[in-house]
Amino acid sequence: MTSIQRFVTGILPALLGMSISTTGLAADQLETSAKPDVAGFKSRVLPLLEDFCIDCHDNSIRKGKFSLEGINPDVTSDDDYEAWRLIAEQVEFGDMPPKKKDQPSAEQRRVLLAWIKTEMRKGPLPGASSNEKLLLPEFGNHVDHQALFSRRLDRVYPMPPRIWRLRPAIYNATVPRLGERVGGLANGLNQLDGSEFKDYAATYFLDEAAAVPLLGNAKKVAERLVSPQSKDRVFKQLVEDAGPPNDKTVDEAIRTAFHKALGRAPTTEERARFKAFYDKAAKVGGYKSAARALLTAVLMQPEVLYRQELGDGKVDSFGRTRLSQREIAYALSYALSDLPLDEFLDAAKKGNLATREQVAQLVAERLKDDSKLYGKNPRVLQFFREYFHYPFADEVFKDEPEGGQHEAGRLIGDLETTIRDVLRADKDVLAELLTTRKFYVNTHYKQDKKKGVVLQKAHHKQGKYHTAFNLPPDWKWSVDRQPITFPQDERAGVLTHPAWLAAWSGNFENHPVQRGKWVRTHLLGGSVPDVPIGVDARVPEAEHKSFRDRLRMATSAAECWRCHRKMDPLGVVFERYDHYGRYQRRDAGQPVDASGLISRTGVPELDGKSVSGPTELMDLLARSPYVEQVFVRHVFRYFMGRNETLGDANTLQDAHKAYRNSGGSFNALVVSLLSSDSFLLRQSPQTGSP
Amino acid sequence: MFNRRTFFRGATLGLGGLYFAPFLRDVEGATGKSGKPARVLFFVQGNGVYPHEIQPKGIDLPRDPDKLEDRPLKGHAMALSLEPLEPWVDKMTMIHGLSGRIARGSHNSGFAALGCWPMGKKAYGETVDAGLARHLESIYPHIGLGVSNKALSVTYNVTSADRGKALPSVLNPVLAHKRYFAAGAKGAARKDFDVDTTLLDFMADDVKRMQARLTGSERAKLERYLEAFESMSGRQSKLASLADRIAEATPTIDPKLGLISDTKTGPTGVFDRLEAQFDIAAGTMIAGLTNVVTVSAGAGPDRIGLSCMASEVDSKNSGFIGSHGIGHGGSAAGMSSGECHARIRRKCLEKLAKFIRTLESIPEAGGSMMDNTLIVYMSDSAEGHHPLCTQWPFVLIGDLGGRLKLGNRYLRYPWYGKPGHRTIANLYVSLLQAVGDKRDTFGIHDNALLDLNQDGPLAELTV
Repeated sequence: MTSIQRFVTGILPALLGMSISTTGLAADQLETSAKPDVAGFKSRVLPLLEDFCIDCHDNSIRKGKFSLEGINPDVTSDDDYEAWRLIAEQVEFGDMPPKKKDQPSAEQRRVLLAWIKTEMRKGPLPGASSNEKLLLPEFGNHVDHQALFSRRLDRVYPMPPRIWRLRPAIYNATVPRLGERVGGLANGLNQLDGSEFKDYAATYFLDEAAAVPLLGNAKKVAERLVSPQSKDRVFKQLVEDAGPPNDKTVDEAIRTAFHKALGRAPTTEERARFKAFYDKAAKVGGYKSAARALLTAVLMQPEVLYRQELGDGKVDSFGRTRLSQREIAYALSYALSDLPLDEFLDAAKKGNLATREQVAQLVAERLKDDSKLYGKNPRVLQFFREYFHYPFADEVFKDEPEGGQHEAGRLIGDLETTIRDVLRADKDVLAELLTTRKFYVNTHYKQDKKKGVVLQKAHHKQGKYHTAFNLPPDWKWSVDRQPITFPQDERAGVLTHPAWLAAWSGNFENHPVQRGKWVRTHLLGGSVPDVPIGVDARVPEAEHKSFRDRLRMATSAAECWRCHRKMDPLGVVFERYDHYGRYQRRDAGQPVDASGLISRTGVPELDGKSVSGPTELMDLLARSPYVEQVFVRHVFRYFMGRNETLGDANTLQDAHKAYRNSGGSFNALVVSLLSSDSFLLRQSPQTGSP
Repeated sequence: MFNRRTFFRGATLGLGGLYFAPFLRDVEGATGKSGKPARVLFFVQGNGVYPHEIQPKGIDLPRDPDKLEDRPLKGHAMALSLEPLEPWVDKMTMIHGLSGRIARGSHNSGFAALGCWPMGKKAYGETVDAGLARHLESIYPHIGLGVSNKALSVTYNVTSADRGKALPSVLNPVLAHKRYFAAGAKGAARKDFDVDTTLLDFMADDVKRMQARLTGSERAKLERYLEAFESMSGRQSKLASLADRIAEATPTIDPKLGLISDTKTGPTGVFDRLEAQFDIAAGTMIAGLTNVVTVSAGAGPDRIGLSCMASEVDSKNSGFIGSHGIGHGGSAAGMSSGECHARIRRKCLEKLAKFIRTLESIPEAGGSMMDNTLIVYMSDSAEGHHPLCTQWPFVLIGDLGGRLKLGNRYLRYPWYGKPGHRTIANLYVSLLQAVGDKRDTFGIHDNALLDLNQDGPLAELTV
C-alpha cells in the first residue's frame, strides 16, 4: 500500500459521499453549515503533507508522538481540531519541517495555512470546538486572532441557549437572604483551581457530593422560613399548632416561595404540581413536615441553582433569539455583582431592556462609581484579580527573607489600592496597569465614620514589610508619601509588583517559565501546551550560577526548547527581581541579566524586539494595539463566561473600538460587551443552522 | 466517542483530586477493597495531647533522640490520662516523635491536622479520614460527630473531602441520632424519613422537567443533578430495607442532650454529649451505615476550646476551668494545670473505652468487630496548647484487621530533622495504603525538612 493510500484510509470513504463545497467562503459570512472541503484536502493539502511531513509523522515513526496518518480532513471535528491547530502553528512560524529537511516554498506554506484557516471557520459553531476540554478558559487563545480582528462579518453568530450554575459567591450572597440571613450554610459548589477565570458556564455541574450539602442548606433555610422569627406570615401559618392550613394558604405559600427564590410567580402547572407534592408529603408525614419539605423543594429546583439564558422564544431571520428581559436583568446583575440588582430587575419589569441602547445606557449608569474603594461592582475588580492572578501570592508558602519580611496579604492589598486608583480614573486602563510606577506601601482605602473613605495605613505594625519594595530598613510610613513613585527602570506595572511576582514564583525561587507563559497567553495571545506527561522538570542546583543560567541548563535541549522558547525569553526578564519581588542587581553573585526577546506573535510591531529588562518589555507591550486586542478577548471571556468563537468577531472588534475611542476606558469596554449580540442573543436550536 | 460525564469527572479529578459521593453498596459488613471488614474511628481532641502526659511509666522520654525506639508497651503502667485504655494495651500502639510542622497553628490546627497543609488554608484538600472513607465505601462514607461549648448543631472543623469541601461534624447528638437512625425509628422520626424520600423523588421529577426544556450539552449539564436525587432516593430505600438492623443498632440517648446550653459556667453536660456521640458512632458502625467516623472534642478552627471539657472536671466544686488558662500553665479548681488537663483527657477516654467495649461485644468473622477496627487518638493541636508541631503524639488501638503491624508497641521516632525522622503524613500514608490507596505522599511537604524523605509509609507499620 502506498503511503497516500494508507494516509487516507478510513476517513475519505465516509466523507466522499457528502456534498462538497469547493469554493472558499464569502468574505463577510461564516458558513455555519458548510461541509468540509475534502476535495481541497485531497488535491492541495494531502500532497504537501505527503511531501514534507509523513516521512517522520506516520504511524510507524510517530516523531514527537505525532502521526498524521488517518487525520480527519474535517478540521472542526472533535478528534483532530487540536492537531490541525498545531499544524497551522508549525507552518506559520516555520517550525516544521526541521531545518535539515526539505522545506516547502513560501507559496506552499501559504496554501496549507490558508486551507486550514478556512476550514476552521466552518461548522455550526465556527471556531468553537465541541471538544469539552477546549471550552475551558485556558484554551481561549486557540481561536485564530487574525480571523477575529481582521475582517467584519455580516452579523454575530451567537452561542446556543445555556444554563449556568451559580458561582459560590452568588449562592453565598443570595441563599442566606432567603431565610432571614441564616448562617452556617455548607459549601456545596465546587470551583476550579488554577490561574484561569473561575466562572465559566461550561465548567460546572451539580452532583451528589454537591446536592447533599445543598439539600442540608435548603432544609435549614426552610426551617428558618417557618420559624417564629420568619417575616413571612404565610409560611408560619403552614405550621400553626391549631391544625393544617387550608388550600388557599398553601397556594399562597407556594407563590410567596417562588417569588422569594426565583423572583417570579409560579406557573399554573407549577402551582398544581407543588401543591400535589405538599399533599403527598402531608399524608406521609403530617402537615408540619410537609411545610418544610415544600419550601425545601422550591429551593432545590434547578432553576434556583442554575441561571437561565434560554431566550424569549421569538427568532429572527437568522434563527437567533434574544434573552428575555428578565434573563437579561439577571445576566447583567451577575456580570457585575453577586446579587440581583434592582435597577436591572425594575427595568426588565418595565420593559426597559428591550433594545441594545437601553441595555448599554443602564450598564453605563451602573458602572459609574466615584467611591475611592471602587467596590460598587465587585465583579470589575474581580476581573483583574482573576486575570493577573496576584491574590495567589497568599498561597505561595515562603520562609521569611533574610533581613526582610514577606507579607503576601499586605502586598495584595497594596496592589489593589493602586488598581482601584487606575479603575477610578478609567483612562488607558490596560497601559496604566502595565506601566504604572506608582505603588502604595502598607496603605489602603478605609471607611472612616467621620471622614468617609480615606487613605490609611493598612497594618499598624510596619515591621520590615517595606523592604519588599527595596525601601531602606529605617523607612518611615506617612500618608503624604503615598503612592510612592518608583524609578523608571525599577518598576513598571502589575507584573513588576511584588504581589504578582510572589504569586508567580515558587517557594524558594522565581518561576520564569510560568511568568513567561502568562505573558505569552495573557498579553501576546499565544498558547503553550501542557507539560508533557512524564516530564519531571527541575532546575538543576549549581553554585555561583544565576537562576537564569540554571534554567537554561534545564530547558535548552531541543525537545524542551520547542515549547520553552515561547515562555523563557519572556519570563527571564523578571529575574530583575528575587522571588519575594525585591529588585536585585546580582543573583548568586552574578550580575543579573534581565534581557528578553519577543517572538512568535505573528505581529510585525512586536516580533524580534529585544528588551533589556522588565520595564522596557512592559512599556513596549503597553503601546501595542495587538496586546489591547488580546486583553479585550480576556475581558470578553470573563464577562460572557465562555471562550470567544469566530462568530463573535464583530463583538470583539466593537469592544476594542469602544475601548480605543474612549481613551482606554474599561467601563466603555464592558458596556460594549454587555450590550453586544454575543451577550444578548442565542442561536435558537429549534430552527437549526441558518 | 466523547462522553460528557467523563469530562466532568475529569475536571474535578485533575483539580484537587476525587471527592467522594456516597456510594451505594451492599452493607453486609464493611469490607473495603480487600474483602475483609475494616473501619476506622478518629478521636480528635482539642488543645493538644501532651507527650509527657501519656508517657507509660518506666519508659524515658528523652528530649531529642536520634535513634528509633521500638519496644513493647506491655508491663508499663499507663499514665493517669490513659488509664481507661489500659485493658487494651495488647492492641495499643503509642507513637512519639512524628512531626507536622506544616500544619502548625495556635490552639488548634483544624483541618490541617488531618490534612498536612498550612493551618490557615482551612479545607485545602482531602484529609486522611476522608481519604480512608473513599476506600471503605458504605452508605455514609464518612460520619463526623463532635462536642463543643458553642450552641451549634453542625460545625466544619477537622474533615474535608477536597478543597473547599469541608465535611460536617454534627455537634447535636439528638440531631445526629435522628439523621442516622431515622430509618429504624418509629413514629415522627420515621415519618420525617419518609417525607425525605418523597422529597427526593419529587426533585428527581422536577429536574427531568427542566431537562425537557433543554437540548444537547445543556441538557447533559443537569444529568448528574438528576442522578444525585435518584441515588439519594436509592439510599433511602436501602436504609428503609435495613430498618430492622438499624433499629437493633440504634443506641438510646438522652433526648435532653440537644444543643449545648450557651452558659460557660457550671456543668454543661459535655461529657454526656461525648458519650452519646460515641454511642452513635458505635451504632452507625454496627448497623453497617459507615466505616469511618471522626469524633472531635473541642477541636477545630471555630476556636471551640477546651473550656467545654474543662468546666466539668471538677465535679465537686463545679467551678469553671478556663481552657486557655490551664493551657498556659495556670492552676484551676485547686488542681495544677497538668492535673486539670490530664483529668479532662481521662474523662474523654473513659467514653472512648465504652465505645471499644461496645464493638468488642459484637461478633464478627470469628472474632469481634473491634478486631477489624482501628482507633486513632490524637489532638488537632499536636503536642500542646501553643504547639511547635515538631512532635505530634498518637495513640492507636487495634490493627485494622491485621492490615497494619500494630498492638503492644511503643514507637519513638528520631527527633525533628534528624536522619530517620518521620512526619504525620507518613503515618497517614500508612493508613491509606493499608486500605488500598496507592498514594505515596500526603499533604504538603515541610519546607524545613527537604533533606529528608517525606514520602512513603512508616516502614515499621507495614505488614
